[in-house]
Amino acid sequence: MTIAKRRKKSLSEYSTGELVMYRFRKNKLAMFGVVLLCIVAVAVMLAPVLSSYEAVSQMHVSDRFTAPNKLYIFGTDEFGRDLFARVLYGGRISLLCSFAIIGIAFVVGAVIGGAAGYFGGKVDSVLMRFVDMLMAVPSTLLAMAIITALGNGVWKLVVALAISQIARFARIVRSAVLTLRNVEYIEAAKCYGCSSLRIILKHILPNGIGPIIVSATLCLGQTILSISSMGYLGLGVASPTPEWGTIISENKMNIQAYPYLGLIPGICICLTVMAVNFIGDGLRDAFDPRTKN
Amino acid sequence: MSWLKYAGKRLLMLIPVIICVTFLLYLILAAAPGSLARQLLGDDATPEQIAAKEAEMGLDDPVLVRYVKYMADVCRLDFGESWVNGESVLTRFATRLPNTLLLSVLAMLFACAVGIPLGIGSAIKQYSLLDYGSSFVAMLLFSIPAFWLGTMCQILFCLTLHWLPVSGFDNWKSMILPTVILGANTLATMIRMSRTSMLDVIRQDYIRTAKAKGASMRTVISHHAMRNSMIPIVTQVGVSFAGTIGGAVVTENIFNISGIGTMLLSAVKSRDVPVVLGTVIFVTIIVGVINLVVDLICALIDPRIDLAS
Amino acid sequence: MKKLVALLLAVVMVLTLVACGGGSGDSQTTNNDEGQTTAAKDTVILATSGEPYRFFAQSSQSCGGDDNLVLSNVYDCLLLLEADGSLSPALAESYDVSEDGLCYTFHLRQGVKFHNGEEMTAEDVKFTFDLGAAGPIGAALFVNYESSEIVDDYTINMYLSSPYAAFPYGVASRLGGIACKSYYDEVGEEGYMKAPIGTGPYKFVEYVSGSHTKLTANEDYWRGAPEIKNVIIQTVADTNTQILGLQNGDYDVVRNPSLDVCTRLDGVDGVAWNSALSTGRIGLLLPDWAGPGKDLNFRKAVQAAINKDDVNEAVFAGYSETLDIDMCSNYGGYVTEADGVEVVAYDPEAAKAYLADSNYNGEEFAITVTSGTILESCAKVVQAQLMEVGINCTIKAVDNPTYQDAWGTREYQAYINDNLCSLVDADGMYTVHRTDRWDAEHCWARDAEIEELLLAGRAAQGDARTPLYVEASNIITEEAYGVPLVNGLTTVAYSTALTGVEAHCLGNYNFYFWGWAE
Repeated sequence: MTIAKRRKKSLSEYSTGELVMYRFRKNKLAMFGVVLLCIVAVAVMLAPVLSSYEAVSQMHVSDRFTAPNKLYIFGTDEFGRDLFARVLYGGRISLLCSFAIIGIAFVVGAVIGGAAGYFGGKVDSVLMRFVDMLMAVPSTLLAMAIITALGNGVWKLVVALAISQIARFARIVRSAVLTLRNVEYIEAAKCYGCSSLRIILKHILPNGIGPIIVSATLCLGQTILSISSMGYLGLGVASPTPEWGTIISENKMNIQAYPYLGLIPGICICLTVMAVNFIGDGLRDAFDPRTKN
Repeated sequence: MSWLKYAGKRLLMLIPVIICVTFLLYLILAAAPGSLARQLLGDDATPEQIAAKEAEMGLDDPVLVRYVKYMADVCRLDFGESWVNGESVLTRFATRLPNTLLLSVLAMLFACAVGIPLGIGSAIKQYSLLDYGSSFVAMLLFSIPAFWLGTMCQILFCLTLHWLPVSGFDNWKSMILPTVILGANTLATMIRMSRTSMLDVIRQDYIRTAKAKGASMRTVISHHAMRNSMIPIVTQVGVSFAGTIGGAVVTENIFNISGIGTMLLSAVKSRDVPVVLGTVIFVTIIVGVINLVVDLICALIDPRIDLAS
Repeated sequence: MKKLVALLLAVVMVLTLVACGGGSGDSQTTNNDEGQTTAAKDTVILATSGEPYRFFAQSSQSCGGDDNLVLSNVYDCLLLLEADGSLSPALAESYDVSEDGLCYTFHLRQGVKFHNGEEMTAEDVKFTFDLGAAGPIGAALFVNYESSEIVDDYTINMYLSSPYAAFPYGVASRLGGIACKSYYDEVGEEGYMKAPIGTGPYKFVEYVSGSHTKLTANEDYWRGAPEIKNVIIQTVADTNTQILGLQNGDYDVVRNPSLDVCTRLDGVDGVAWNSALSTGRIGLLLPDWAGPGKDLNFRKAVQAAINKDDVNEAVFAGYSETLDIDMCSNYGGYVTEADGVEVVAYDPEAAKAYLADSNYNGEEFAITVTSGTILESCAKVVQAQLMEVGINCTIKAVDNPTYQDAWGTREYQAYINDNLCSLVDADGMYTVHRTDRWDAEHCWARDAEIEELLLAGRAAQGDARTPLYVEASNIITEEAYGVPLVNGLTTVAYSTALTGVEAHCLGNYNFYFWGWAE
């Protein structure tokens, strides 16, 4: 027994999940991304501890344009508002919204794509026409058109961006389902009389989850960028609410004189998106080592 | 002839797409809060004036009726007038389109001209300094928001160094920054895409065979690998173009270029529905046509692609 | 391998050159323009977020403040509205009012030419007023105008249906720009809109939708040739880009930047800014039909709890003025404490006493405003002050359509608005308290009484108006139907290469008065 335990497992003895994790953990960039994202996420979640919500809008008239120091870690803006608090709470909105967007897009996309792939035939062609339709309009444009109708607001922005991402997920889920639909264990499950829903949820999704996770991660990075771009343009998150894009937009005129006002929120966006992208790339390589060059 | 038939079929398929998208937008719009007529007329409007304006805008009909009317007009190439200034949507689009197209094409050219050589170069010299360098640049450009890069460049090149104008799009100097900013994201995609694509091809057996037969590296790349690695790249150009037109909204607004992007943003902010709907229709068609052209080019490069199927 | 890299680099360079070459080829003419401007600057570029696009005020399409950028420079009115809100002679050298206030006689300047070389006569004035009065904004700007009578080529009588003291402001408004009758007969409304002519200091050159409008100096202008030879009104949607462009020298003037932008420009070389009191009254409306405001004592508590100086300080850095009544100090017929106006002073103790007398028991009191505007900033200050005296005040910041809807349906507990007034006259008060626009059951209880006084104020002339407006204001104060807060501001930021640029109460721009600094 002891010998067996000590013996190094051969490759075939690892489960797929273990292999993925193993490959992922060996990817230094990906691990760097995980650490970075964790730091950002923890900082943002601890915003009420590290700072306070009052500090977001509290104006210290005597402390306008204070460069980063011990009291104001990121300095203050033209109204003497603490940039650290604004960036932290801004990050909350950016991150929560992007997760919400990916979540909604994934669930709706999975339902559409799953149904299309699993049932095939007419269901497939009808649903996929709908998806093609969403794909035909550039996503920024679609999101802006939806905002026209819904108006400004954080949740409206989430809905608009989520709708514009549904098609992507529907396609990925559908192709995952298609490749798995006719494999033997699914046939077996069908023979046992499992319901369609159960088959999709219990058997197909877990096995086809790889490309979906990869795509969701890469999409997450782009979504963070989209939210801040929209904020910058004045759509979605309106100015007094801090959001990374609106923080840059409201400080734009002072960046030349006080570069930290532009650099800090910009670097925050950049690092977060980069971390997410590193993780996405790492996951892709881990799930499908052949793509790694 | 088969490609003509194929092209026709693809273009016809755009019609249901447009019908569905506009219908979807119409439905959401019907549920939108606030009276658009009141917003247009301002504070001093009396209820009668608002009702009259709503009738004039056709807002008192049920959604379905309005939608059918709108689509009937669209079929006659009448996209309506802007609610804000009464200008024909078609004319306005036509005057704004050239700038956006020029900007997008310049940005694509920039991205391809820089990105493809870099990507191919780093594939050929894998694990070299060039490879690491360009991968890093690609990663960076992929993560930097365009509006931030644009703002920073404006401050550096315009306000601090006084090399370039902050805004405008009417001479080569004012075109440099918008082109680079809009092209940045596509540049990143191009570097990664062409690198991956070239690496795939280089590992194929026929390349190994060619090398084994003693062909020089240059011949192998230019005669055998280049053509085959181009197909995914060309496809990517089509996909990126749609993204570029979306990205133009940000770029045009930063640099104040009178194009589709600035037009769309002001229309969205003032809820100018006819302009937004018209823009969505036009851009969908343009993107559809570009994707079609890209597919045709792919078929031209790769005889294995059969358009009929 | 090296050769390949070299080849690729060559391709890159060629493509870049082609790209740049293609770009510069498109714009040969613009480059030439630029060369000229650097040699001897003769063009002013004004950046505006709102685009002018209707160039014929009397048309059926109406016109707005943005259009006035062009209108006030291409057309001249009989009277000129100065930056501080006073009137001075323009195309009319003088005017008389009949005793009953029903007939205005204008004596026109002789020898004034339209841009097409025709002389301006009484016939053109009659045409302009008849057409304008029948148009969509005629009732608002040419109030009570009935008809014109041509006495001779240079004298015209205008008759009103009933007296209206603010009529001269209407004459000086954007609708009063004199248009050429014979030209209109020739080209029609649409032609006039596309190629407008007037007697103004600038001729219309071109309008490119979404981009710019170009004006050029009228060398034969009756006041003398303008010093600024060309004006480009450039549409720049992004306010940040406007200011960056001003600092970079892309633009010479930025229209109406927000006050915090202006104060930031203080330390910047080569850029200056200027502000003027607008004709807008920013005030808090307290309905007596909804929420805690149904109780008079509650409304009085709110009235006494607000420190208007704080609002001015926080929102306008103290550059504006606080309002005692629902009227700006630049209005014609403005009344003051000396005339007998009652003013409620800031007194938190009195507010607490009123609150104790009311049947208010801590329920939420929401102020409706548009989000992200100065109105929201006002609301924040007010909120803090009301909370201090024990009112559970919240802010309902909504988007513009919802805000407008709340106004129309009167579903608000309190409402902060900026009441602009195109006619710089006490009659501006009328817009809030007119009863003909409301269902009777919803208006303030004493609106009928107020309206009667305001209508009498319209009809009376000169000093006879004072007691009427004093009484109307006092009713509003006594019943606490609203708390006037601060006067609005208009601003302009400009390059110090220019002289004579000043903010105008209505946000008008008269390029004629600008010049180049030596």
